[in-house]
Amino acid sequence: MNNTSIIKTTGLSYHYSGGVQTLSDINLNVEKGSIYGFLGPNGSGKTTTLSLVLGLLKNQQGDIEIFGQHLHSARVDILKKIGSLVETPSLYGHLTAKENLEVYRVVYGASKAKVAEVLDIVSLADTGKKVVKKFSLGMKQRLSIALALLPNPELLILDEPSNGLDPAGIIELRELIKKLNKEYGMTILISSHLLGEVEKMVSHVGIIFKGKILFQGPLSALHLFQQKGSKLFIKTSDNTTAYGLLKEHHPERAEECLSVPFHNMAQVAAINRTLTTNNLDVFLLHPKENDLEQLFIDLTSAQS
Amino acid sequence: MKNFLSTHNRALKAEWLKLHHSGMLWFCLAAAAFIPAFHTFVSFFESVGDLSPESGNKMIKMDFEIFTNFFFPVFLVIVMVRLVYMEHRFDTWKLIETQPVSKAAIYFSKWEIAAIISFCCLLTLLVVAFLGGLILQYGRPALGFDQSNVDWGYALQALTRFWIASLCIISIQYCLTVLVKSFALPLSIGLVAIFAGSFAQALGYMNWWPYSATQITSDTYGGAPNGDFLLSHEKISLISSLLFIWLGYQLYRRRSIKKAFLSPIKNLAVAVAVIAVFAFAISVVNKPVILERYNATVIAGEIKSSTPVTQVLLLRSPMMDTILTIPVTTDRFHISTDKEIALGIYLVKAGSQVSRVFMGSKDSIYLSISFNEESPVVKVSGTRAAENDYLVNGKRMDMEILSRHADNVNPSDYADDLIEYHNDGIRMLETFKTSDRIKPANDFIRLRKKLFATQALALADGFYPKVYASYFPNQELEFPEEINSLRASVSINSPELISFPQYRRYVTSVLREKSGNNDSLYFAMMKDSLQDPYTRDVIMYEAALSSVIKIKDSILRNKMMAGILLNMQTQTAKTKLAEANGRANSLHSGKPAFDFTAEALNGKQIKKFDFVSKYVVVEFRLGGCEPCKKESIFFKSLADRYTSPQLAFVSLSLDEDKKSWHKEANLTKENKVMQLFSKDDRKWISEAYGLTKISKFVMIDPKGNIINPQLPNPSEPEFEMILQKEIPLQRFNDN
Repeated sequence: MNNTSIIKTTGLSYHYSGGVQTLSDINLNVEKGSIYGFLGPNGSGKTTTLSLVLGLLKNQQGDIEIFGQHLHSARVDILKKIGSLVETPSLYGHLTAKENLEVYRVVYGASKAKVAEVLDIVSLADTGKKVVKKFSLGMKQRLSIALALLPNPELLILDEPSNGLDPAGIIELRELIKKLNKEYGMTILISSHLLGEVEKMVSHVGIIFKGKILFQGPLSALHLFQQKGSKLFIKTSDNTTAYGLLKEHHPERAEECLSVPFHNMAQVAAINRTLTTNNLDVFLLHPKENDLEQLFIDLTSAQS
Repeated sequence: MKNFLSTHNRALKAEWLKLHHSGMLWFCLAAAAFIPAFHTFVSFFESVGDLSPESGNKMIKMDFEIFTNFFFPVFLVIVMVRLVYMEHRFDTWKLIETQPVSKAAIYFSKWEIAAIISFCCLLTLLVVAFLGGLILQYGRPALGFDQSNVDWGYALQALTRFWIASLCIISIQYCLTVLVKSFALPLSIGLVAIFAGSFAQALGYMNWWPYSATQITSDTYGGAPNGDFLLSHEKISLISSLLFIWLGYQLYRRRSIKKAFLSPIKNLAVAVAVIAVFAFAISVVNKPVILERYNATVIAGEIKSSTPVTQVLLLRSPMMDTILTIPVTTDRFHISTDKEIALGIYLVKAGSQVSRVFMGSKDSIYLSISFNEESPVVKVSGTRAAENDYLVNGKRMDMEILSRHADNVNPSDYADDLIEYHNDGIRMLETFKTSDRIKPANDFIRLRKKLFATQALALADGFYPKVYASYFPNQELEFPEEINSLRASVSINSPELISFPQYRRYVTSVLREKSGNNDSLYFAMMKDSLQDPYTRDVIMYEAALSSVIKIKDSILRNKMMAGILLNMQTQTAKTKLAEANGRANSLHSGKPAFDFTAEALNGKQIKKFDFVSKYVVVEFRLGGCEPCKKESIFFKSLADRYTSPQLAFVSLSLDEDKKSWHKEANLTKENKVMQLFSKDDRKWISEAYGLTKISKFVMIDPKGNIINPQLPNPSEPEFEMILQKEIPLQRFNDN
C-alpha cells in the first residue's frame, strides 16, 4: 500500500438497478496533502464515485481504502475524519444556519467555537435567525461547505462546490480551498465539470468520462501532456512545397494549412527562414498551445 | 454493535435538535392538552359524564379514553410521517449518512424521538387533566375534586400501557415512511388503517390490529381482568414493534424491498426466519388460555365503600338462601371452604350491593367491589374471570326476539331461525376471550350450550305451538330433524342448570305445555318428572310464586299452597312461599287508588290522576332511610330495564324537608324514575296506602285501580315477576 494515499480505490465498478454500467474499473488515488481535481462532464460518474467513497452507495465491486483502512470495515472511523458536500446542498430548511451546524456539531463532538469559526469562514456569521429555506442557493452552498468543515477534517470531499456561487464566490472558494490545503494540510478532493474552475488550484487531476478514468496524475503531468500536444500552424502560398521543405519537422496536412509539432520559438524562426528563403509567402505562422480545456475536450471526444 | 452504542447518544441528540422550529413539540402539546382543557372548560357549565366521587381519577380516565380512541393514533401517524418526511424533503439522508454514526443508531434514534414524543404527549394529557381538576376544584366545588385522591399508580399504569400500545403504530408507520418518500401516501395509508381498525373493532374483529391497539387499551382502561400489567394486544404491540423496527432498518439500509428481503437468497432466508420467529412469539402471546381449577374453593376480595360493610354473603338464586357468610375486616374478605358449591350462578351480597358471580367448587374468585349510590362496580377475577366477563360483556344472541317474529311463520322457517340463533350463540361463546385472552373453561361452555338448547326448545316446544295452532288450526306441527337433535342434547332433568333462569323457564314451559294448562296436573308433573329434589323445589317454588300472584281467591290459593308446601323439601323454599302467600292474603287489589298530589323536580304539580292510561309503580320513601336507599337502587335498575311509554316508575318522597329531597333527587335526575315530593298530609297518605313500613311499593293500573298494594321489595325476584306478570311489556333479556 502506498503510504501517502488518502483515498485509494481498486477496480471500483458500479451499476444502478436496470443494469446500465455507471462506473467501471475506477482506480482513484488521492495523495496526502494534494488538491485533487476530479473532472468530468455531467453524468460521467463523478457523484457516483464520491457517493461510493463516502459509503452512501453500497460498494458492488472493487475495494475502497481511505486513510489506509477499508471503508466497509471502518466506515464510522473513516467518516470521523472526512468533511463532505455531495451534489445539492442538503440542509434543514426550518432551522437557522447556526442550528443546522449545531445538529452536526453534536454528532462530531466539535466545539461551539468551531461553529462560529466555520460560519465566519463561509461569511454566514451574520444570518442570525433567518431560516435556511429563505437562503439563496449560494448561501446554502456556503453553509454546506461550512458543514463539511465542521469536523476539522483531514480529507475534504467537495462535489461541484461552486454550483450556485457567483464569480466572486467562486474566487473566494478557490482561495479558501488553497488556504485549507496550505495552512491546515487538508487533503481535498474536488469535483467539477468546469476545468477552468479547478485548474488554478489543484495539484492533481483525475478525468472521468462515461464511468472510466481517462487520465490521472499530477497537474504537471497533464501540462507535459499538454505541451506534447502543442502545434505550429503554417499557411503559405504553396503548402505542397512547404510540406516538402519541412519534412524533417514531421508536418501534417490540415485543410488549408500545415501543422508541425511545436517545440520552442527558435523552431518558429527557423521554419520561417526556410520558407522565405525558398520564395514562399508566409501567411500564417501560429504556435497554438493545447490548453487543459482543449485537452479535456480532446480527451473526452476521442473516446466518444 | 460497538459503533451503535458509541454513536447512539450523539445521533439521538442531533435528532432532538432537529425538532427546533419544526412545530412538533407544540403540536404534541396542543394535541395532548386539547381534550382535558376542553373538558375542564365545559365542566364549568355542564357536568360531562358522571365525575363525583373519584372525580380526579374519572377525569383522567375519561380524557385518556377520548384521546386514545381515535386522536392518538392519528397523532402518531402524523408525527412519524413528519419526522421522516423532513429528511426526504430537505434531501438530508445523504448528509446524515456521511456522519461518523452507525446506520442503526441513525435509524433507531429517529424511532426513539417518535417514542419520546408519544410519551410526552400522554404525560401532558395526564398533567393537564390533573390541573383541570385543580382548577375545577375552585370553580365548581360541587364536583368534589378536593375530596378525590388521584390514584397515580393506576394513572401511570394506564399511561405506560397506552405508550406501549402506541409503539407498534410508530414502528409500522416509520417503516412505511422510509419506503415511500412522500408525505401524503404514508399519511393516507396510516389514516385508512386507523379507520379500518375502528370499523373492525366495532364489529368485534381483529383485536390484534396494531392501529387499533390504543383504542383497545382505551376500551380496557381498567387493565387485565386477571391483573397482568399488560394485556396481550399490548404485548403484541411490543413484539411487532421490534419486528417492524428490524424490517424498517433493512429497508432503510438496502433502499428497496427487493434488496432488503428478496435478493440475494440469503436476505430472503433471513427475512423469512425473522418473521417466522416473531410470528411464533405473537401466536404464543395471542393464544387463548383456559384457566385451571384451583386446589381449594376460595372467595376473596376488597370493598371500596363509603359505608362500612361487615359481611359478604354468597346467596343462591332464586330463593336467596345463604351458602356462605364471609366476614369483612378492614374492607377485605377471604374465605377458603370445603363446602360443596355446585357450578352455577350465585349472588354476592355486600351491604346493599348484590351482584352475580359464576363459580363452583375448586374455584378461586377475587371480587373487587366498589360501590356508591350511583354506580356500583363489581370486578370478578380469578379462575372464573373469563366466564364472568362473558356473562357481563360477552356478545350474545337475543333469542327472545324470535318470540316476536313467529306470526304466520311455517315450522321449517321458524326452526331455521332458531337453529341459526342457536348456532350463532354457540359460535360467539366458543370464540369469546377476555381482553387478556382467557377463554371460558369447558364446563362453562358445556353448560351454556345446554342453555342455548333450552332457550331454543322453550320457544320451539313452549311458545311456537300456540302460535302455530292459531294460524294453522287443523294441521299437526312437525319440526325438521334439527330440532329433534336439540331435544336430544338437553332434558328437563338437568340439575346442573338450575341456577340459570333460562333453564327454569324451559322446564316450566315444557311442563305447562304437557299439563295442558291444568294447574294441579302441572304441579303433579313437576313432582313426578323432576328427579333432583332441589331442582324440583326450585321449579315448584317459582311456579307457586307466580300462582300466588295470579290467584286472587284466597281460599283456593291457600288450599293449593298447602298441597305444594307438602311436596317440598327445601326449608327456605317453604318459608319464602308461605311468606308470599301471607302477603297475598292481605292484598286488596282491584280498588281505586287514592289520589295524591305532589311536586316534580321542575316545580310542576302532579296528581295521581295525571298518570291515567299508564301503569304506575310507586315507591314511597323517606330521605336518610338506609333500607329505602338500598331498595331505590333496585327500583332504579328495574326502571332502567323496563322502559315503555305505558309504564311509569314514580318515587314519591314523604320527606318533611323539601330542600334535602331536592338535593338528593337532583343527584338521581338522570334516572328513569320520576322523582316527586308529596304535598299531601303525611298521615293521610300513610293510611290511604297502608304504609306500615318504609319503603313501600304499590302498583296501579291504567284505570287508576290498585293492582298490587303491597309489592315485595324490588331486591326480591318476586317483584320483577309480578311486574312481568301484570304488565304486558317486552321481556327484558336476562340470563
